[in-house]
Amino acid sequence: MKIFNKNDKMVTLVRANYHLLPVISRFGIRLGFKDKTIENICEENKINTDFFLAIVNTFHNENYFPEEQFLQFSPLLLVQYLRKTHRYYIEYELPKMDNLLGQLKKSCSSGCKELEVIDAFYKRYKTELLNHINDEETRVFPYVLELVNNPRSVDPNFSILEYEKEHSNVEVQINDLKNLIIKYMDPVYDENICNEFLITLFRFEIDINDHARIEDTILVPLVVSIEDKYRG
Amino acid sequence: MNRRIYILHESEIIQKGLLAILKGKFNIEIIPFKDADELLSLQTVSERRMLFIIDPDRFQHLKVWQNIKQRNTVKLIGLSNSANQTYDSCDKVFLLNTAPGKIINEISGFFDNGNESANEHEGEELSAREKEVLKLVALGHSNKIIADKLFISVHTVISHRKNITEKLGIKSISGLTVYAILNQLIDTDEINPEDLI
Ligand SMILES: [Fe+2]
Ligand SMILES: [Fe+2]
Repeated sequence: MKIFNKNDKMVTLVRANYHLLPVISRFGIRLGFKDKTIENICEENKINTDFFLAIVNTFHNENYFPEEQFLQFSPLLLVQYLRKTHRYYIEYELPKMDNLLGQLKKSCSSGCKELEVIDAFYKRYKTELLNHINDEETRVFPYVLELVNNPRSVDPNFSILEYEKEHSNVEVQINDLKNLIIKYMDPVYDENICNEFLITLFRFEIDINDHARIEDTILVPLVVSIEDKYRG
Repeated sequence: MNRRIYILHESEIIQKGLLAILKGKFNIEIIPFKDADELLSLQTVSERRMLFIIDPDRFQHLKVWQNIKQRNTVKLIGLSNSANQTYDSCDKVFLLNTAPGKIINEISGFFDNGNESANEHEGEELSAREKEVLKLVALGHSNKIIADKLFISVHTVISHRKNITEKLGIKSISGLTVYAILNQLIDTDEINPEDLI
């Protein structure tokens, strides 16, 4: 699997993996790359090039884990990126899924009880995901910021390990949602809308699993290493 | 799933060499073991996806493998220096002069498969007993209550639930509830499905 470096053109990134488009957007980078390199574009946008590369490479190749590099970034950069990602989910991806599911329900003319059940399951998934995100925004991230800015003021009995909750629940549910529709539901709906909904779910799953991986394998160890430093 | 790579080789050079090659390539914990005794610590772990790179001449016939394989998904890679030897306990054997890339690809293949939850039981029909268990799970009962209602042990309930999940490809309780409703295992005239999910 290709590992991108700063001298690669930005356009090759998108050609190699178009799922990276929203990741690039989250950095505030807009299209119209011309033939500029990743480094050129990051500098123009005042983005830390190494951080950008670490994020896109982790997304592109889930076995890529730039251990040492990541430990040199400030957790503030990570938190900023994770927050932008949350906002993208809340403001764009979830409303898009709501909308497609709404259209799907409308497209059904009879025997639509099954779709109602799927809808209830989706709503439950969404609620759990939003709770998880809210927990990070109101407890986890503020704790990280405080630890970085004011390490001696944080309660030494708390640790990020208690704050950051497991991701397995939400990961399992989105996978179940896909399987239930693909395998077990009667196709009493417009197939094009349903395909669109499923494709959105697949893409969202890739994105959010990467997001969880960044939290679990990069943010948490980074913060633990800071905690250790101050607690000896 | 919990993923690990173990290196079991008495040669420190080989162990350190493998560690250097694999480190950074995988987002997976790599644990070096010096001797077979250390394997005993794995007798209690379960549901991990584990890959072992071993010296097959010394370690392929240990009793402990059977135990570890029962509760985990295991792959044994032998790293040997003799080309004319066969090692039937290893899933794959490489010669010591193999290009590192080959071993890396073998490892990637093993762990990538784990992501696409292709399990061998998916698609098998549920037994009558499993349907009963599923129905009670869908109604929101705990393992203890299900065990009491069906006159079986909690342990048996757990093993039924594991089989159900593998056969259906559905893991969450609410997902199983949806399945049960879609397949009319529970009567939704009596209960509002939205209260269950
Ligand atoms: Fe998050
Ligand atoms: Fe999270």
